[in-house]
Amino acid sequence: MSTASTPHTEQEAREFVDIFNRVRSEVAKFIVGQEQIVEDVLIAIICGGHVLLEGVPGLGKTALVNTISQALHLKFKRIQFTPDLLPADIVGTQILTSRNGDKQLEFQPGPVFCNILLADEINRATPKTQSALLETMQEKSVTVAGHTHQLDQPFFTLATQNPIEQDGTFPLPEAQLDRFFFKLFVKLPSHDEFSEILNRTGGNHTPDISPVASGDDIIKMGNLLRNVPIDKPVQDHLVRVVRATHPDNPHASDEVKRFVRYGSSPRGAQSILAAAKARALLQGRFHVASEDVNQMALPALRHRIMLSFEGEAEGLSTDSIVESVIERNSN
Amino acid sequence: MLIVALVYVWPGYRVPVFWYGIVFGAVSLGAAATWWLSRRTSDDAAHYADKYFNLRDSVRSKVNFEQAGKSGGFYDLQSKQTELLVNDSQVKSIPFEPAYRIGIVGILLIMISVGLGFKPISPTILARLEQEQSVAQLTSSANRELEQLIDDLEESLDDENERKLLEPDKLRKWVDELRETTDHKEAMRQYAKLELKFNRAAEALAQRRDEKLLTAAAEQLKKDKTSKDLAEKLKQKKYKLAADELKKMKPGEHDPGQREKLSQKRKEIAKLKAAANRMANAARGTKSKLGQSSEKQSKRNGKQNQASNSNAQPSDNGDNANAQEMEGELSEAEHELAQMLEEFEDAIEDWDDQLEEMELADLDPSDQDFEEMEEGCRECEGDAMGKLDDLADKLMRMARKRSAQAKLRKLGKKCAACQSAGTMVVRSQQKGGKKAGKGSVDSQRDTADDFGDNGQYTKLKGLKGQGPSLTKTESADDGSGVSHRRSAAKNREFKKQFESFVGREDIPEGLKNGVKNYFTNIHGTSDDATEDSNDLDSAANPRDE
Repeated sequence: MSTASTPHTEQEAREFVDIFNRVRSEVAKFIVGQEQIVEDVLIAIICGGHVLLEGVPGLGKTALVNTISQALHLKFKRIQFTPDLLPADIVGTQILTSRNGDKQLEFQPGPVFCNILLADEINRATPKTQSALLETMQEKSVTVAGHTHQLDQPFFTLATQNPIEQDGTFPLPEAQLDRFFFKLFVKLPSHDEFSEILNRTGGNHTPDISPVASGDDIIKMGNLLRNVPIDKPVQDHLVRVVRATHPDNPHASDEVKRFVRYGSSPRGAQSILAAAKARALLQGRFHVASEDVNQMALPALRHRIMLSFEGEAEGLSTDSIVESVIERNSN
Repeated sequence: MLIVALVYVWPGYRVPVFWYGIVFGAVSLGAAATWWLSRRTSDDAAHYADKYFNLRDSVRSKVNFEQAGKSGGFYDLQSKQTELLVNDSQVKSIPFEPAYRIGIVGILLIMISVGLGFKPISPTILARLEQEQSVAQLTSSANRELEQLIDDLEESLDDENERKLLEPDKLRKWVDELRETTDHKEAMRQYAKLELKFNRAAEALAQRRDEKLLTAAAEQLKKDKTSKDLAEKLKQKKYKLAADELKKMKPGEHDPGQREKLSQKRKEIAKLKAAANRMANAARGTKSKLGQSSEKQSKRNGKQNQASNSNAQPSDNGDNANAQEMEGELSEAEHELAQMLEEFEDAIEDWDDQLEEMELADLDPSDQDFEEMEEGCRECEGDAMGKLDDLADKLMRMARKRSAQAKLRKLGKKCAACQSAGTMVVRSQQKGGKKAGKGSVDSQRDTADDFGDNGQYTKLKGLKGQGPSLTKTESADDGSGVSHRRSAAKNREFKKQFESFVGREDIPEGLKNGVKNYFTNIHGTSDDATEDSNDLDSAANPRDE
């Protein structure tokens, strides 16, 4: 039961929507199209999650994150992952410095000390390096030489993967993938969007992105959406959807039983719930609907389902599995 | 209801009215139960409203939040928002979609079901029900009559020996096994079985050989005036009266001491002796194959030829020969009566011899030898009279057996009558036959009548010059005119058909015997061959005379 007063809550809800729309509008000044990607990324940021973006190079993934960070007035850092990247290159290291004649080790923070981190082509780095970042994403802190350094809040990581260059890469293990709030596919722009991209970037003038929100706003928005209520039947629907991705569930479909090896963990359900609350507020509602759950289930579950050998041999995608699960359990 | 109606109407029955009440009640209960179990809750209603008005779970969430007692903050906002949304929605716009198709189909089915309810019972079923009722009544009355017959039979039994022969308790048990039934075939079957039992029980009491022997003895006795009454009784098989006649032939008490009385006694004995001789001759005739003529028999034959008796006619050696013409298939051990007759004759002969010897000796009563001879006479007399009494008892037993057999046959005939009555009940309800006023007073029919299909596949025949003949006239050569090979084949075929006919249980015994006798008469065999043997070859092949 919410303890806040109703008018205050209503105002906060209105501010939530306003801020979100402001940021979205600001981002849209530079980023052409990709409305749903922008919305999902912003939702993930508000919910305190990280996003895995998958798309071919040149679709504006870096520009997107950069624009968002400008709009939110947040510190942005980018790391290009390569096979020779070391964990210290991410989290930082101690260097020997001379101060007042005394030589001492001083911690030099790595690029991870920012608010928004873009980890480009994360699958090109070695698993050791990947794990350094992923651990940081989870703990929101860095420990070097026994000293723990907290990261700034909010901290958000956007990792990218290139689907076409798989040779010599180190795919993220399932346990690591589960740490990402959303996995989003960046698709090729449409014809009009292509044209608009060229219009905006072909000339000398590039749009200025003004900060329209701050990190505190993001934190406040994140705290607000946690109070959005969800009715029990809707929550049951959410749980059914997530459980239906498990092949050993007696209510799982034949497709899941045949083509899925592992289903989503409860972290997936948490992601869906948080995102659904955010969406409900954005839709102007004060409760979570089944529609919100259905809408947010796909980006939250697609990277949390492991296909079986038969599923991969059939060339199935996890998206089709998740969509069929959603359709089967919608009432 | 349609299914129930079809279940009755399809075979031709009428739908009982109570089924409508039962089905209506069952359907009402079922509908009420279905409605109760499947009735919608307020949650279902809220969910439907959310879906119909696209409220995105607003109403349901509001209802559930209020039920959970949640308020403040977002809950109040959600509630207010939902109220606004609901106010904007037109509840009356939710269409009521009656199940037209189901309703129309249901009404049609009801109309058909009700219509079928008015369909009357088919004539075939009606006729069958009437027949079943008739059969049930018939079996009920027939069973009662049979029980009454058994009761009357038991009451009429004074003789304990006859009671033991008949075993009325066993008969009653057989009758008690009868059941009232509506199935005509079952009814006929049970009466046929009962008739078979009665007839078998009667057959078990058969004493044909003894009766045949006594009939032969009667033929012999008939030749003598003194034994004509006995002969008559034996021929008519009135064995009880014959026993009385035999006892009447006992000579009176005489004192053997008086010579005149001896002669008198011997004269009286002579009648008995002649009768015994004739009966014994008849008995010996049955033992011709064994060739067991006793020395006494030959001796007796010789003495009979020498003795002169005013009352007894000289024995006819031809009679012996005639008696010996009977088929001698009996063993001495089996033919108790023949043995008794011979022993009786021996006893009488011994007695007469003793008396003759005493007469010839003409001793003084005070003489020692006289006493011995007197004692001997008395012994012989006792032995002879004992044998006579035994013979009389045998006749009495035969009389009782015959009486019991007759009663059993009467019961069997009653069963046959029940079967006939049952057959008539069925036939009278079948199609066919002439209607009133359509018959003919003529003793012959010149035109064939079409009786229609009444289930009987034989038609009346007998038009002049038409119809098959049961006998064939074949061309005959000199002599017997019949080829043995063809006749043998015909005999085998006849035997097979006859055996299958006799073996059927649904045909009354009386009818079987009639058919058997009919074919027997056609082939001209004797009753002896037919009764003594089931060998149909002998019936088919007449003996050369």
